[in-house]
Amino acid sequence: MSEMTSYQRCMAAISWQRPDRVPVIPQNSDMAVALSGYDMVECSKDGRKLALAMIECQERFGYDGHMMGPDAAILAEALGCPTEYRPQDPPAVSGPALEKLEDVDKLKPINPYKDGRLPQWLRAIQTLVEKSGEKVFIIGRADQAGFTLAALLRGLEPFLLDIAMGEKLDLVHKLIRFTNECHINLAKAMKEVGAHLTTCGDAFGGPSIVGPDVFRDYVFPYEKEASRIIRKDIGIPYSIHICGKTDAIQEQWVETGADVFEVDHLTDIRQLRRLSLGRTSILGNLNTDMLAAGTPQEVETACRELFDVMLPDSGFILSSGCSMLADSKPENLEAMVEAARRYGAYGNGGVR
Amino acid sequence: MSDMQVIKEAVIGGNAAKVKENTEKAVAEGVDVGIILNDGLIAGMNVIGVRFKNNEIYVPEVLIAARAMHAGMAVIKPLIANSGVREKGVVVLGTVKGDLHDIGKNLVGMMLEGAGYRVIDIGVDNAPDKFLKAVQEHNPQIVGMSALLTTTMSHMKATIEHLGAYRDSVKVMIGGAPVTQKFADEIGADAYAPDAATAVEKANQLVAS
Repeated sequence: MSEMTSYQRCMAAISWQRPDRVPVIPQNSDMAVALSGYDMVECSKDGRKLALAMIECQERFGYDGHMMGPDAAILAEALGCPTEYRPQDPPAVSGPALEKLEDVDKLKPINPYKDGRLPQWLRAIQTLVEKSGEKVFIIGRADQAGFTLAALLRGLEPFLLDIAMGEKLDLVHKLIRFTNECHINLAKAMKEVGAHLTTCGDAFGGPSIVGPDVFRDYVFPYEKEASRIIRKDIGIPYSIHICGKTDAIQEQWVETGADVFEVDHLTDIRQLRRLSLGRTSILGNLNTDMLAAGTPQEVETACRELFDVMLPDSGFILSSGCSMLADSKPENLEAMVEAARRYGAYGNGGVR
Repeated sequence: MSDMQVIKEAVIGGNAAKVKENTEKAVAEGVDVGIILNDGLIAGMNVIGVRFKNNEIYVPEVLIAARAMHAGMAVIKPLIANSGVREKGVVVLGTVKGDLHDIGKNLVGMMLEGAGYRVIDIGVDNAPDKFLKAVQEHNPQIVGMSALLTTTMSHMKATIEHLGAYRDSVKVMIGGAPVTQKFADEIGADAYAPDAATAVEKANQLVAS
């Protein structure tokens, strides 16, 4: 089989067709910014600079896709959360937007083309599309999903107490419905500016924070709804990132219908693969600590172990488990890309 | 069920009103403050810690139990000074520079308080100098540092180095999602705790050593 473009390779992986080899999409925009010489504050506020930093990094290392992020504050900020900007780290929410749950009625739906820094994110994707076009796969982040965004607006602890106390559950659901709509609005804009897949983070909805019963009642229904609207009505593949533990929710998680799950090294990857095979692709899950401070040999070994679990099936994109440290060793990223080239071939034997 | 058993179960169930009511009742009946603390409030949080560690319960259940424990603590706090009950130790606790995620740190604080420690919570985003100042001011036995992001855990090493001569008298315990025992060894921390319940066990070992 002749060599595919990066775009074709990633599309094949997420649609369970046969790629020529395992595609690689590191979650390395912090690293790209650090290598570019820009600082994080200017890239957070200027989408074109962020995109240029990402393009330079992709061209240097030759991986298959751009994954924007990991700024997890952009929707929360546009909805009123105080946000801190730091030169080396992405912007972060530093407080809630709602004093009390009842304030949900005062919130206005976001317009991604106007509000906060959202237009800069769209500009970043537009720049990536202009420069990389149909060659490189482009993942447009729709920031946080409903549950996690609701927790940011309310404050994580008060939000979890609201749920545990069970006194104002109608307002809790009203808030998550609202934040889920904001997330979906941003996903729609990502499609409109040309992203090939849209992703979101919902880490507060995973078992590192809440149990399977809270996932069932407050996370799953909204992820499933977002997945349906984004995939069917808007028409763009959809990915969900939950870092930390996921084992206790995987069985239900698959029922969201998402195209891709992004997980880190704390997930039981064999169990997830077994449960999601043929339905939801996996993007992950190399330990970011190893990528930062380990050796290229360790990275190669970890990649090969992953290939043993994943291949010969399609539905897999090699990545870090979460955002890579800005000062991760470049030779480790090289080792990751090289491992996919050398050991990640699907050959002619077909894909299960 | 004994009165202490009632308080313990109410802490476990996260029933703040019931904890408060029964703690007040026990005080009025002249029950020793140390017994209320150890056999009621701390005993309840111990169960919570074990269940949390075993993934039987999750963060919301810990929060609600800690809230109930605090309702009881508020009742006995004024009485502790004259009771002969001594705190197990003092812990300065904070997230490192750049890290605004405080849920893990807060859970550790709740569990340590629930185990009888006095916790000085210096909040989030602490540069090495803030940890040093807190050590100088509060003279703790332990400094606990938390990082939830891979991008911020590198500041732990800088903080340990910054404590300088104080390292002779202060033990350093670290934790957070990306942190590992290997990382703790590399940066010279005295202990690593993968979860809030283990943090209490490690703190007990550190103050005993």
